[in-house]
Amino acid sequence: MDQLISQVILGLVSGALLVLLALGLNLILGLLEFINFSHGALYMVGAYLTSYLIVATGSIWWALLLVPIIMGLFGAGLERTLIRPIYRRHLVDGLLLTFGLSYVIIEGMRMIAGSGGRRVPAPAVLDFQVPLGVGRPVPAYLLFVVVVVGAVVAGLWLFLQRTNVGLIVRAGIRDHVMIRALGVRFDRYRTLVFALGVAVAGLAGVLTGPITGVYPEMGAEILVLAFVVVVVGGMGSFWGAVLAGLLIGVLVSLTTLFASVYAGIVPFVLMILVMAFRPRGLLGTT
Amino acid sequence: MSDVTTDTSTGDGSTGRAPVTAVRAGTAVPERWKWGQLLLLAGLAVIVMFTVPNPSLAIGILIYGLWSSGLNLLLGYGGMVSFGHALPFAWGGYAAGLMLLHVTTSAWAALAVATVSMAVLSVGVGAVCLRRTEIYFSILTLAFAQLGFFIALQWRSVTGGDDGLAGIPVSTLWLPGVTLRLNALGDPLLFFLFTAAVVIVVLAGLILYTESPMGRVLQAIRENEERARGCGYNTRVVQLVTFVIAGAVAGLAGGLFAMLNSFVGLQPYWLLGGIVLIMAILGGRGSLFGPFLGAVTYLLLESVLSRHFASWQLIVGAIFVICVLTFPQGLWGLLTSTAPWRLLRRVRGSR
Repeated sequence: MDQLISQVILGLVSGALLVLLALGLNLILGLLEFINFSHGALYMVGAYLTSYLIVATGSIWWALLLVPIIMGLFGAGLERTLIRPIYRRHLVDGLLLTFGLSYVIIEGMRMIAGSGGRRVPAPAVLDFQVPLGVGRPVPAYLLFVVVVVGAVVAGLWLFLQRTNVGLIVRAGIRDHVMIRALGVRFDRYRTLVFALGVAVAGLAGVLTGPITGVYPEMGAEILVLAFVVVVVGGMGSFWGAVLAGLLIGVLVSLTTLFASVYAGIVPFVLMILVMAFRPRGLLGTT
Repeated sequence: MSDVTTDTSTGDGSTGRAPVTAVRAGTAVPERWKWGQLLLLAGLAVIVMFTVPNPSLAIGILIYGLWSSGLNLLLGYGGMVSFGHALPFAWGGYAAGLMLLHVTTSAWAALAVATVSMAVLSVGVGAVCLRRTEIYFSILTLAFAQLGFFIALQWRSVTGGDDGLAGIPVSTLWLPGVTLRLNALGDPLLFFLFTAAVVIVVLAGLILYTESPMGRVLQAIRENEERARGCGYNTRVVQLVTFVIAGAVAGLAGGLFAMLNSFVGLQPYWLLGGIVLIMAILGGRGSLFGPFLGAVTYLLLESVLSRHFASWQLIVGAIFVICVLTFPQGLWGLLTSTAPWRLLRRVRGSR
């Protein structure tokens, strides 16, 4: 029983990281109308930046603050230079372009940092176990990750629902021709949303580092799962992504406990079931 | 048919996308060169045979080209980006490998099983992948490939897991009157000729398909699915048939690849899903011959660059990005837009 509870908590942590990636993918998909295949590679860059920043500054707190900003600016730059030219083309080109970008980013990182991974130490302040009352004590860092992700999810939701910028973003997802006709400089919102998505992916990279270490392929592996989360939750659905991310995290974690051979397959089986019986996704509306 | 005129009405105002001009049927291949592609392929095969010193690389070029050309049926003609084309290739490899290891050494039987079983599997996979829009399709194909990878990794008793299937016996090729042994190491020329013959026959079949009424509808769907459906076509069925054909071709290519290497494993099969896409785009998505150019270019780049530069894939990736941004029709598109080709087209057009 104790083991079961700890396993569920581990699942929630890995699910929470998936949620961050899936939310960024969803936002970009909604407004820019293509799936960002370089999302995983950018997440990996965020994780590597963290490992270097920790060496430079000696603490993860600077990384938590700086990496999302750096990655956001990098994302904005990418959008302005490489991605903008393809809006007027077939949506296939957006997929292909970001696919090529991910290739370049991963290989570039491998050239700079080598193929081997790097370890990232968890912050010393959080290096203790928290007794929860039930189950075994949990490393404080894992709880910290859940709290940060919860805060980011809440922040994103409030941003989208309560601010004027969020209102325009939501309207743009519905019908950007109309938004443009009303005199909104829509291009800026595309840049903003892409930057925001990349910043959140970078933050996920910061949080992941101390748990799994960093290595060049980390993004490619998690990206496929993040896609599954988007599909299972319902494309474009905010809370669908949150629900599906946590669900998949917990399911994988529990399968590891009972039948580890099948752990890798579980998300895909879930996805196939959802596509067969509820193709719009768990909370999808269209 | 002259160059296809650009459709200026988007039809569906809400998407706000510019009219689709990225991939147009008429731009890449002059109409009368549809069948000329077979000659080009035969010519390319002869050039490869005499110039590439490494026979296994030469045969590999043809196999990758075949795989990539099948993918282009989805990508260039159907406008569907499959990121999971490693799945049918690997399936074909494992199917052919298992046949040769456990059942019979007949090359025909192994290739037939690889192709037909993959076609059957594609019906199921395609039915799920095509339930929603293009973006779903890309994600779902990638997810299926990943699922296949996990199964191949874990089901050790059948696939050999990490170690793969080694020691696949040399296959026997029964032709009317003669029985030949397809030994890629002992007699590479025979293996090359057999592969070239298979590839040319399949390419002819693919050209026939793209020229058939269903192939035309496929291209109409790529340009505007709503409108094609409005014309009364069952677009999902056309897409599914195409998906099955592309899967079967990839299965065949995978079977040939298994016979070439006498080995099927995780490494060479599953990591190639992205590479085959690069080949197709680099070569040119507007035609079926283009991917063969892409395969030659990619494999030669690899063999030259990897000797001098450890991160050669960085260069290939950068070339790919530049290709998507500046010459989306690929090398074949560049070639056919050069002066001699345009002249040729004009001469033929005025005849």
